[in-house]
Amino acid sequence: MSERNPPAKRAQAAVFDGIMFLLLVSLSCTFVFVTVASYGQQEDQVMRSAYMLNYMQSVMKSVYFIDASTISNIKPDATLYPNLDCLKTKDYPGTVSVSDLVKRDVGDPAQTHPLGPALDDKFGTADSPGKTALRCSLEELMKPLSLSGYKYFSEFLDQRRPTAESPSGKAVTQPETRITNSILFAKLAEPAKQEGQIVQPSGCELAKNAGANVLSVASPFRVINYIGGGETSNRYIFRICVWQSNETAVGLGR
Amino acid sequence: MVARRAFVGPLGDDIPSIFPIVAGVLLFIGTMAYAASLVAEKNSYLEVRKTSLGLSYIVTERGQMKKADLETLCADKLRKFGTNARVKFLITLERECPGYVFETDPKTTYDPNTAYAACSNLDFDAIKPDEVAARSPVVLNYPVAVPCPDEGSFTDGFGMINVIVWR
Repeated sequence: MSERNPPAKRAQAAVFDGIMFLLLVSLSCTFVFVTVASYGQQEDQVMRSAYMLNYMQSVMKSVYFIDASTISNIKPDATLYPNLDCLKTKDYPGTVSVSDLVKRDVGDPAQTHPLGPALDDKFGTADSPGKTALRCSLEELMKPLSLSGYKYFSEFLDQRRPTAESPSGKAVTQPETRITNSILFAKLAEPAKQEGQIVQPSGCELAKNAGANVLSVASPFRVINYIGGGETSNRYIFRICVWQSNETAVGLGR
Repeated sequence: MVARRAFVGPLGDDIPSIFPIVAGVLLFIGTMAYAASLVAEKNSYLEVRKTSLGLSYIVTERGQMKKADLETLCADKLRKFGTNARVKFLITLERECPGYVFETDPKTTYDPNTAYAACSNLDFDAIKPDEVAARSPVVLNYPVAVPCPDEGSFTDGFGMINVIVWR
């Protein structure tokens, strides 16, 4: 029997090895559980975003078909949607959709709108409640997202007037009220006069610059201009962006 | 003569170390088996979600839908897609002409007999809302324009497509 490695110490070494093996296995199992817990999260996030984008595309497609007269019974929350009277669209015939009213509203002639077209419920000086119709229809169409804590902002970009900040085009002015359910960004996106020009900030850009995780969908929006006897086509981009927000109607989250 | 302590024998000395080794091996195999089952369950759920998105893309091609449109789409594309993906699905089209009203009981969406129009790869009578709810289905909702105020109207108002998929 070796005196350097007596039997008692050999048994102790074997037990020690066994316990070390158990500890290493426990550590490996911990790593396995941590990996499995996070498995599929990225795919889940991608599919969630895909659903949101598809939802917003459906909203934009529906706007082309929903008739202006059918939205007249909507009663929106006055806090989130100030100065919104959906009854204005009641008397439009069934052949006029929400998008038709919006096209008339945006297609302002230069004679009455020298500073550029505006979503002001007017075609020139005649009534054309396009912004009202769009606000009313988006109030309903975006309700599932709105009730889930999402805020949205809708705008039109004039592709004839690209800017350095917005190469896709300058945002069409939305005087008085904006097409959004966010009280904060409705205020931030208020148009202002600068050097004789009306500057309409892009609500989507403001939300993105504020650090919100913004998802946006855009589609071409053509407006035929019949003024002057000829026919020209003005190209706009119709854009809706959404983001998660803890903004509340009272106190803005405070 | 020095008394020998704690000496059972060459093999006897190793017996105590067997316990942590066996425990370690069992723990490792058990963890691997559990992790594999978790991953398989997650994969199955992700497959169901992918299929539900695929069905949604087909059914939301246009922003307007009538009963006949859904029935045509159902026969041409939706049933084949769902059956190929080995899932069970139910797509309902609801008319919400005065505006969207959200039911507090989500099972009301799972009944094809109360919807304006429906499509499924199962018989409608075989779809029991309670059984569907128990399978934790994936439910996706999309807005669409439907005939309003009546079913035969030429004007369109608010509608909702519900895509419900389960295994």
